[in-house]
Parts: sequence; structure tokens; C-alpha cells
Amino acid sequence: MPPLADDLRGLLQLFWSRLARLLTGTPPQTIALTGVLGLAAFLYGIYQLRQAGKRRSGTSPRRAAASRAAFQQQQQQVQSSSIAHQQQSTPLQPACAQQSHILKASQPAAAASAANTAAGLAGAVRAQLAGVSIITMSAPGVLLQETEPHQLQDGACMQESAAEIVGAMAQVANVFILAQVEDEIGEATVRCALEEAELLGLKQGQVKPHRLLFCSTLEGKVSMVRQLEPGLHVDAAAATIESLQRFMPQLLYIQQAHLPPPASGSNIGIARSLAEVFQA
Amino acid sequence: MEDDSDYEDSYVASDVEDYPTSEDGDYGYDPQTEPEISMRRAAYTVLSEEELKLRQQEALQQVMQVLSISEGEAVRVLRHCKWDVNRVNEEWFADTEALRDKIGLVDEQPTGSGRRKESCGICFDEFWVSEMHAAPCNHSFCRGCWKGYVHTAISGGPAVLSLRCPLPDCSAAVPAALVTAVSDPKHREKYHLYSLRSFVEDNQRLEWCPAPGCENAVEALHEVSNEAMDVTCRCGSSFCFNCKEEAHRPVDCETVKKWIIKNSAESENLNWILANTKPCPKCKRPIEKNQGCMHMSCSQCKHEFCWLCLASWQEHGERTGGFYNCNKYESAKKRGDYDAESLKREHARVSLQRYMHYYQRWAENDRARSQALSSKAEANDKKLEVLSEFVATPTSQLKFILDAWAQVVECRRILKWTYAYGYYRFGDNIPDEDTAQKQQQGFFEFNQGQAEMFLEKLNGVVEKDLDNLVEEFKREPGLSEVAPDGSVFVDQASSPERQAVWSKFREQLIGLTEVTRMHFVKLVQELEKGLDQLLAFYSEQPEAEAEAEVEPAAVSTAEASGSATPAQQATAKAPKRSKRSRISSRAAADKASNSAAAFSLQEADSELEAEAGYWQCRRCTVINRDLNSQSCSMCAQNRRGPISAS
Amino acid sequence: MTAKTRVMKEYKEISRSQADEAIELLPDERNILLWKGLIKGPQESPYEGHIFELGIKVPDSYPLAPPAVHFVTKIFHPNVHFKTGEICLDILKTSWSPAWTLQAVCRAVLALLSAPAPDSPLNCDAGNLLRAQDMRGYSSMARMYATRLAAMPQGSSIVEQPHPSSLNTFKEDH
Repeated sequence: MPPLADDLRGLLQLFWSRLARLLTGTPPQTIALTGVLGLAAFLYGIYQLRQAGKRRSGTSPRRAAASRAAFQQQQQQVQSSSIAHQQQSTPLQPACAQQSHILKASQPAAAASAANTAAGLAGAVRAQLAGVSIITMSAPGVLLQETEPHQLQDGACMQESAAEIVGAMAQVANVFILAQVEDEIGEATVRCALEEAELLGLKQGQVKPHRLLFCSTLEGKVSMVRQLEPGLHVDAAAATIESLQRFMPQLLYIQQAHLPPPASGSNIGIARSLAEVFQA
Repeated sequence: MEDDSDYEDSYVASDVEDYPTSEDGDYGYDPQTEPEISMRRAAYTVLSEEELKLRQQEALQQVMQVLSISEGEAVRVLRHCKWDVNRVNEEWFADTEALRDKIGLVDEQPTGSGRRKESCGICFDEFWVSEMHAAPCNHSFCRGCWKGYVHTAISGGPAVLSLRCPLPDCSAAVPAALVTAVSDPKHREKYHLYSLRSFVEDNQRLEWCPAPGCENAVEALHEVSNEAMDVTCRCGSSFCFNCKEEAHRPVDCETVKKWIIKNSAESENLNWILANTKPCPKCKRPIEKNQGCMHMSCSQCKHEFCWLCLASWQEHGERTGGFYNCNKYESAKKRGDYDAESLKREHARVSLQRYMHYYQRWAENDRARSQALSSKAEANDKKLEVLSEFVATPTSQLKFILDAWAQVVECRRILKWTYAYGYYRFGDNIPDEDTAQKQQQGFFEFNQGQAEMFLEKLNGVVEKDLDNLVEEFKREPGLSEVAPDGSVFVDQASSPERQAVWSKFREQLIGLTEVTRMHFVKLVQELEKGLDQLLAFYSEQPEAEAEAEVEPAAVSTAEASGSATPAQQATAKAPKRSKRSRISSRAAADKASNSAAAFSLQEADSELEAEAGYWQCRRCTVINRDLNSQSCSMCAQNRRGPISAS
Repeated sequence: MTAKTRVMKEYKEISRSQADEAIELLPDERNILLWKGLIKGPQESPYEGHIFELGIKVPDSYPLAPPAVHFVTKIFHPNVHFKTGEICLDILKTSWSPAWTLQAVCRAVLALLSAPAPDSPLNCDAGNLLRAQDMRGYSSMARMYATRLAAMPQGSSIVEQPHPSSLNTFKEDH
């Protein structure tokens, strides 16, 4: 037998005898206390393991609630700051509260409140659009500065940062762009503007060219949105929002400066621009 | 005033046809059928299957001659124009080509050379042209394919009568000859049946009799409008020409439809549930309280609660005033918490009660009518024979009994529908301020009540009194002797006492029948004219009303006796018209002159009565033979003086 | 005269003469009563340049009863149900005549594509677009769906693949 094994055995025997002496020598209460402490430690260990497991799968009720609260606060700040001079705080509160209820935030709001980096933007968009697979939007007023069909005859201008947001959206969902125009000139104008902003194409982060749709009437646009069945529709025309209110799970109304909002509803969100909603 | 002339025409017609004596089989009513009270009768005839075929042939022949077309084409043209020969002529000569195109009558195409093969357009096989069939458009198909095509079409229903060429763009009509040539006997028969049925179904003037098993059809001999029109088939059933429901004048067709739907609809059930039950607070099932205690327990979910305030029973019991009160309920009621709900409940209960009131009476009269019908049949079969033996009169003289039964049947029908009328006419909540409505309702109910009283009387007499009489006769001595051959001694029958009793009964019954009939006539007219107009007149002229009631009595006696005073001749047209015209003429006159004229008329009355040998009671219009009596034998109304209230 | 005989005759006729280059009819190898029809979108219509597949089921009582035809390729058209492909065409229901052939039926479907009837719509949104006289909207929707869902004649199709997404999984459900 090797000497190492001998030593080992001796050590073990020593340890065992000392333990036995300790146990037989100590009063019973101490043993009980030790047992209780050991049990507690055991249970705590299990609990920690479970928490770790939950964190890995991505949902944590406590953390989700916390992030939602933070997101709400952020929304409220945005809304109240933009319409502070109008007496509409009350209808907006429920509107944005409901909005957050639908757009579930899974990632912590920390990402949303990050700086205006592309990663932050994508994250924000992804965060708010979780669960939505199809998005439709009406180009005038939302992506373009022009709002009326007749204004599109001369040319179209993209709104700042709108292109990036749409690009981010296109990465996470199917995006369709609708535009109400008067004739082919209007069509060409819109298409040009979008192409210049490099929004149309087959690459990632771009809207496929055949998903740019035109129509000549408001009822037509409503029918088209109903046919596409999006999870979210963004529009700048109050009439469209009103017509679609009963059918759409979620609507976002981009409010023009001087016009009143449409009838409020639990599924209508209101903002001054896309940037407001999707950026910190 | 234009209304008047309409009524005049119809009254003339009805007067003539009131009691038809001709045995002409053309008219749908003979002395045996029930005397119809509906005044606005229109002419109609009943056609059996044979007669229908004849009619159809007649129409076909006529069209064939006038338009110079074949029978097959004539059928198509007639079907298109709803079997109205006049319409056919109009449309044909207005634009022949257009009509022919619409129907599919094409000119015969030349067949070309016979000895050649063509492929059938359906099965793509080749056949000799001479073996294939074609519609006048000359698109040939083989016999087998034609057979399949025609059989499928026949199975599809009467639409096969408009069958067109199988070729998609060809609208040529397939003639009946071709259809019968290619189909087997079973389908051929079906096709003929459709053909005959089309004559009635496509025709606006003909309707099938809705009685089960009856194959007759009724033809209206005038322009068919959308109004209710009662007709009676040879099989005995009466129905409304317009809506095919049972005869329902004086009520209009929509009311009848609504009433029938209401009787069968679930809405009344729901109303009852609302009025009489409360929902369980927990499981919401409707619960009806069947005991006095307020402590309820739901049989389904076992929840226990207080009936009054619907709160859970745990918080109840002694604390809230015991088992029969509920302080919570009382205080809440004082506060007005239960107001809306109890109001709703109240409404439901009231409307349900109202509906039940009318429905019960409607159903009772309906049942009574069926009973009366069977009693009439029974009387016809058995009782008349027995009776004729007892009173030594041939059965032909005893028709008045059958007439009385017929009257009962008819009056029951009218009375029944007046209840349906009343339900819809006088709505659920008449505000008390609407006195016109209330007056009309009172007026209507008064007349209805009068009519009903006389109907009950008539029913009683013809049912019970007659039976009692027969029993009495049986019990009298002398009739219990039965000869060995079974014959009964009838010498008692000719005895003067027996005869006196019998003739008294006879007069009473006949008089009562007539009185009831008049009452119902009045009721029917009022409902049809609309209560508003009559009421306006009546409310203005109370004396004139009393006046007018004398008039019809006097006029009908004038008719019967054949004499008339000049004052009455001017208004001798018909009872109700005279009443109306008299009212309208009175309306312009002074009230003083009214009473003066009334008095002079009374004098004329007594002259007339003396001539005729009887006087007619002003209230119940029964004929009193005793010229000296001062009160009516039937209703005890004073002969002279104001009419006392019933 | 059974359905099979008549269908065989039609097949012979079709193989013999390729009359219509816009219509291709192919029977199923195992069952002569099941056919696949490939029709080219008519010129001057938003379906131009695309091929649509029809599923045709021939009943036993053919030709006395009409065949059951539906769109296998999804198409945006007022008289075609978007999800089931059911076609609302009178000759397939009440106006059927035994003289119609499968080719004639396909021709009628093509005619329907060129001339939609918005008054009896199976696709309400398409019907509404036409009733609102919004030809632009109707054409762009029809073209968009044809591009996404229908094949191109050369055989290269740009039928859409599911969108590549790393984090969120969403389905291409059109």
C-alpha cells in the first residue's frame, strides 16, 4: 500500500474521531441549531438556483414590472412635455398606459433610455413591437412632412429620423407603406422620396418595393389596412383612425399641430411624431 | 264623400246576393253554406281540378289563335305574363321581338342535310344528325344527353318550365314536346304536374285552397288587390285570398300575421320570465318563488338569498326584520334603488296580463267555433230526423236550426278576430289624456260586448234550449209507446199545444238569429271603416244615433214588407249607409230641427208597424208580433221613448 | 355517358390542340377526376405576368353538374375568398350548362379576373375598394399579393421567404 493512501486513511480516521467526539460532546440544542441552519442554507441555495434559471429564460415578473413602470414614466414625460399647453392630460394618461399594456416591454427600460445610438434605437423599436408581426403606415404625415394628397404633387420630404425608425421596424416585422395620392405624379414623388432615403429594397432593414401601396380614396385605404390585418397601424389622418378603431388591435395617431385628436380609445396611441414614440 | 259611392256599389252587390236562391253552381256559396256577414264581398268561383284544366286549355287556345303561335310557345308566353290573357296581348303587340327574345322563342332554323354526322356538344360522341334532337335554335345534342339534361332539370323543380337550350349562349326555349319526347314516364308526369300547377301558382287570380287534401282552386273574378278577401271553398274551408290564412275579416292581413307570430313566439315566454321570476344572484338562472318564505335557495347552484333584496342569506335572518320582511329592501326601496328594475318588471307584468286577456278570449272563441261546427254537423245528421218526428214537420222546414248554428260559427269567427284587433288597436299604454282613443276603445268594447251577449244567447238557445225541448217532448205521455215494428206514435206531434210551443220556439230562434247577425254586421262595418270616423259622428249627434238605430230596423222591415214611406225611400239603399248619410245630413242641421224630425219619423213608424203586423225593437231589432205590447219580448226594451242602457 | 368518359374526351381534345396559351390543364395521375389548372393573369389587369393555380374537382354527375373549382394560389379579388380560394361565379353554380368544358370554365375564370363584379363579393375589402372606385388601391393590392404569392412564368418565383429575424419570430402569414 502506498504511503499516500496510508496517510489519507489516517487523516480520515482522525477527522472522523474528532467529529464523533464533537457530536457526542456538544449539547443537543446546538445540534438542532446546526441542523436548522443547514436546512435554511439548503433552501436558500435552491431558491437562488431557480432565480437564475428564470433570469436565463428572459422573463422575470419583478423585473418586468419594474421596466414597465419605468417605461410608463418615460412615456408620460414624453406626452406631457409635448402637449403641456393643451388640456388633455387625462385622456392621454389612460392612452399611454394602455399602450404600454399592449406593447409589452420585456427588456429593461434601461435600453430604451440609452443614448440615440443605432443599437439603442433598434432595441427600443424591438422592445415596443414585440408580438407585432405586420405593421402598416400611411406615408403622408408619418414619414413625409406633407400631409395632404395634393401636397405631394411638387415633391416630398422625409421627416427627420423617420427613415431610421422605419428601417429598424423593417428588421423586426413586415412593414407596408400606404400612401393616398392623386395621380401617377404623386406616386412617383412618394416613391422617389423613399428611394432617396434608401428605404426601398430587398436588403435587411429595407421595405420591399412591392410593399409600397397607393390608393386614391380614404375608404380605399381603410379597406387595404383591413385586408392586411396588421398588429399596428400608424396614420396621420384622424378619419382613418376613427374608421379603423373597431377593427385594429393597435393604432398610433401622429397628431398634427393644430388638429384635434380623434375619438379616444383603449387601442389608440397618440404622438407628435414617430421619433417621440421610438426614441428616448 | 267619395267613400260613399264605393260602399254603395258593394252594398248593392251584397243586397242582391244576400240570400241567394239560385242553385247556380258557379257561385261559391249556396243556401247550405254559412251566411257570410262580411259586407264587402267580391265575386269568386271555386274550380276543381277538371275545371282548372279546362280553363288552362281555354286560355291557351285563345292565345294560340290571337297570336298565331303553337301550343308550346303559347304556354311560355302565358307563363311569362302570369296567365293574364289581356297582358299577353298588350305585351305581344307592343313589342313582339323583345318579348320573343325574353322568353326564348326563336324562329325555326333550317336543319340542313339530314345524312351527316355531328358530334354532340355534351358527350362529344358522333351521331347522325337525324338521330339527334334540337330545340328550335337547331343546336343538336344526342338523345341520351337530352334525357340526362331534362331529367336533371325536372328534378330541380318547377323551374324546368323555363328550360333553355343547353348551349351556354343560346337562350332558346326548349318546347314541351321535346321534353316529353325524351323523358321517361315518371318524369313526364312530373312535368305535366308542374305545368298544371303553374297555371294556379303563377296566376295572380287563382289560389289553391289551403285545406289539407283539397285539390280545388279559387278564382277571383275581379282585380286582385292587397286587401283581405274571405272566400269559401267547396270543401267548406274559408280562407283569406290575400294571405292564405283562415278567413279573418274584419281584421286586416298584417294584424293577423302579427297575432299568429305572437302566439307562437318566444317573446311571451321571455315576458313571463321577466314579470314573474328573478335571476339567482350567483348563477343568474331565473327563479320563481313558490312559497311564502323569503329565504330562497337556488336549486342549481345552492346559493341562498333573500327574495326581496337578492342579498346573500348569511347577512339576513333575524337582523333584517325576520323572515318575512327585509329592512334592507324597504330602505332601499324608499331610496329609490329598485325603481328602474321594478318599473321594468311592472311593465312586463302589465303587458303580459293584457296579452293574456286578449289571447284567452281569442282561444276560447276559437274552440267554441270548432265545437259549434261539430254540433252543426251532428244536428244535421241526427237531431233533425228526431225532431221532425216529434213536431210533424218535414226536415226541410227545420233548416232554421242549421242556419242558427251556421250563424253561431260565423259569429264566433268574427268575435275571435275582434279580440286580435282590439289587442293591436288599443296599445299597451294609453295615456289618460288621450280621450279620443279612450272613447274609441269604449265604443269598440261596448259594441263588442253587445254582440258577444247576443251570440252567447243564441248559442245557448240553439244548444241547450233545443235539447231541453226535445227532452220534454220525449217525456210527454203517449210517445213512449213503441209499436212492434219500431215506429213511434206521432199523433202527439200534431197536437195544438205541441205546435204552439214549437212555433214559439221557432220564432224565438229565428228572431234571435237575425238580431245576432245584425249586431255582427254592425261590428264588422265599424271595424272596417275605422272607429275614428264613426266616433266623431256619434259623439256629435246623440239623438241622431238613437234616430239611426230606428232607421235600419224600419228599412229592413220595409224591405220585408215591400212598402216604404217616402222619408225612408230616400235612404233605402242599405242600413248602414242610411245611418251615415242621415248622420251627415243631420250634422249640418240644427239640433232643434233634429228632435222635431225625430218625432215625425216616429209617427211614420207606427203607421208602418200597423200595416206590417209587427213592430221591431229598437235596441235588439227582434220582431215582436204583439202590436199592443209596450216592451220587447227579447230584451225588455221600452217600445217608445229613449233606449235604455243595457 | 359517365363523367370519366367525358373527361377523357376533354383530355384528348386538350392534348391534341393547345388552343389557349394562357390556360394549362393537368390531370392528376392517380385520379382523372382531379385536375390542376394554371392560368396566366390576363393582360391589362393587375394580375398580369403571374400564374395562378386552380384546383378542379369533377363530380360523378359531370357534365350535368358543374365541377368544383377553387384558387389554390391566394389571390386578391372581390369574387374570390382570400383564405379558402372559393370562387363566386354563376356558371359554377346556377348557370351551369352541360356544354361547358373545363377549358371553358378556366376561360370564364380568366374573364372574371379581368372584369370583377363587386356586387357579390366574397372578399369585402376588395369589393369595397372597387365600389369606392379606387382602382389605384385595388390594382396595387392585387399586384402586391400577386408578387408575393403567385409564381412568375419563367419559373423563378419571388414567393417570399419568412423574414430573417434573429430575436423575434414572426410568421409570414399572408
